Amino acid sequence: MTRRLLIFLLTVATSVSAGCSETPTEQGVRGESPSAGPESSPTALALPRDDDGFLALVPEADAVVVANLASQRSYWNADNTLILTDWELAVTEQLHGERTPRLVLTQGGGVVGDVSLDVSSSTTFEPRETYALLLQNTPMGLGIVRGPQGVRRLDSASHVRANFLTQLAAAVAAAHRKESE
Amino acid sequence: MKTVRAVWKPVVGVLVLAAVGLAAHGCKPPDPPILGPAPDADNDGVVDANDNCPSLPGELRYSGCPWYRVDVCSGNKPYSLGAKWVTATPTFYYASSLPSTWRDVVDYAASTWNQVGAKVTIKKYTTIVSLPAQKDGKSVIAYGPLPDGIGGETRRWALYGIVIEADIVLNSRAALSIGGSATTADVQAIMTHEFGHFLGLQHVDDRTHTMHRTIPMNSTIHRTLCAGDVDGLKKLYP
Repeated sequence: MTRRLLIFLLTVATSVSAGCSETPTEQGVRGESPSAGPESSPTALALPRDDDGFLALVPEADAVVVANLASQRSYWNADNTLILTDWELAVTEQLHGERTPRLVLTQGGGVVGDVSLDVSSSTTFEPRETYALLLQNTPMGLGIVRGPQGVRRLDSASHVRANFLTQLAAAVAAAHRKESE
Repeated sequence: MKTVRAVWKPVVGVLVLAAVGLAAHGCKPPDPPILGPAPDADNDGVVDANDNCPSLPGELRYSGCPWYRVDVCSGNKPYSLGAKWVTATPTFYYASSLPSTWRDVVDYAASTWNQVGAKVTIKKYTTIVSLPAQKDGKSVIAYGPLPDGIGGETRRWALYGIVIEADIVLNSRAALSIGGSATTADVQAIMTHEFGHFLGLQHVDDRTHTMHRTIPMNSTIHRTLCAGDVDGLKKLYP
């Protein structure tokens, strides 16, 4: 009786440890897979927040700048059907495109005397604010990519601004890489 | 016999303990499997197994769905006000350039704002006019070329800060359709947004609101107003 019990216990112990010893063998086989572990899983990436899709428009831009308003001038067009405004911007950072210290954007809308025109696809610039702009060359001159979508007023908090500009620079670098591929 | 049993009992006990200990030592929990790249059909960085919208590019924080499928009317009720009409019934004409099949959805877009309880009602003339969208004292809904990437545009004229005319142009160079699709934007949603400008509202930064500067493709979400849109109109026309 005792011998049977002894044999039973030894058999159980041997089979349990033999079953557990299979793990390293299987791991070795799976380890040959060329792809990596959890750190390369796409879900582990921290995606930057780009709520209004501004960064996604970077590849469409011929120039990416950070700028402040230097001056503005509104006037009637030649046939008095439209008010236009020239926005002169002082460029403080040029992230992409031909370097230029100043640029002029002409857009519909503005105020002349008692009459004002608000054009929803135009952008207005405020003094003392800083803007990131995605610019493109058009047959009519320099324009903003997709109207108001290609302009982002930068947050006044320096760390938020710096974080955004880092993301913007990364988006510009990614667009360069894609272009050169 | 008794002696033999007395000797074997502790031996058996030791063996039992050894067997259990051996088993426990050898049975470490298995390491997690190491897998190849997980499928991600919409290439949005959220693998299909975790993606509630596997065929639509979305965001990690929305389990792979685009925001407009899950994030409806968030934000802190933002609005931004421009010039307003003095009349309680600003009225527009259809320009002959506007496809006639779009007139119904333009009407729906106007009625969306008419139902919010503000003291203003958008009305229309039944006459179809052949006028361009320029300053002539007549507000028209027209169809014509605008720069790339713009679905529509409102040109709101004001004299001494009072709106006297507002023209809306839908972009003939843009891909538009009723209902929208993966490659087209919804005409009714665009018109709902433009009628907000027509009445005096400006853009807001919250993308869930109809008055945000962008409109998602493949979505009719901006046909419906958010609290900030409604509050803005009521503030403008109390």
